[in-house]
Amino acid sequence: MKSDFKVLAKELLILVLVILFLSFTVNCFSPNKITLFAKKNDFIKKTDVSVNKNIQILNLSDTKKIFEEKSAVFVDARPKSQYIEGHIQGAVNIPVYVFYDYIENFMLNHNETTPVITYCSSKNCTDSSMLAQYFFDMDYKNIKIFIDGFDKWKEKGYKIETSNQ
Amino acid sequence: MVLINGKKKGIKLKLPISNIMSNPWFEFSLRIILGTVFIYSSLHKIIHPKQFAEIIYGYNLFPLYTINLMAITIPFAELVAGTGIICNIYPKASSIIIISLLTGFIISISVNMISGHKFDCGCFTFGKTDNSATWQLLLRDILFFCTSVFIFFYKQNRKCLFKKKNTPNSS
Repeated sequence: MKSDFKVLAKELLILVLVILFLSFTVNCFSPNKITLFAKKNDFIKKTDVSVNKNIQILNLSDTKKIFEEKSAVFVDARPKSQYIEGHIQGAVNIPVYVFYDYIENFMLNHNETTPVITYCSSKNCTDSSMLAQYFFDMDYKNIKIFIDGFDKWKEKGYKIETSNQ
Repeated sequence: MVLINGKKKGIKLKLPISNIMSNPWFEFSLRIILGTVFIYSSLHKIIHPKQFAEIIYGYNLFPLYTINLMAITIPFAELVAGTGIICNIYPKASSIIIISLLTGFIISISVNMISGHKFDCGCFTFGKTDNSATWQLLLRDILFFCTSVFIFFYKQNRKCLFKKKNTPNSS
């Protein structure tokens, strides 16, 4: 029994060493490698405006005003399935994790001076802030984040629409 | 216990379910299924560690300095343990790793489910933030957890993918 435990512990140790060796070696040579320890700026927190002062945070009432003025393009950062179920009227869908598949088409219709408002589900999700940062990196400088997200918009009974695509 | 010729003899009840459970082919198929799931789920995380780190960050449970370390090591733990149980290389140690990973996943999902926090599971693909399916995720992980516990405690000879003969149960 004791020797069984010893053998098991030995096997476990070997596997852990293999895992650690493979993990750090592959990460070291990977084109998508990441740093061992994350920094605060690696993950954009939408409530933390100091991360990128050029990206403005909008609350529900400000967003509603812009929506009525039709002075900005709304971009939905959520996955396509959620966008199809319902989105802010007129919003374009660019799911944040497939940004580069969609951005080319977006750029054909909207140039870098276009005001863009990104949103996701709620205050808790980070997709809208990630998307805003991606837009900023693509030289779109007039970027805003609708912080309350689609759930709040829908709750207030503001205009939404579904999509068949 | 019964007395036969004055000696005590034990009677073993053989239920159909216990026959299935002790069947090496049954255990072998469970290992193949579980191993394949873990290997498959590790691949996109290995290719896109940054996105996986963002998923872990989205869980809102772990200190910042541990997130990248987890994003680097968890996919390889899945890959190595998955390969281990498929190929019968240290199957008990591999199942312990899988049990540990699943325990972590179950706790993370449960905490987020209770707090009502929407998160991207990141299990097989990135970009699916859907809270409605959280209980399904939890159920699936519990099922995998039970499977790996069964593999860990399996006492019969294990079938091996590359050898024709049965190999003795390691460790």
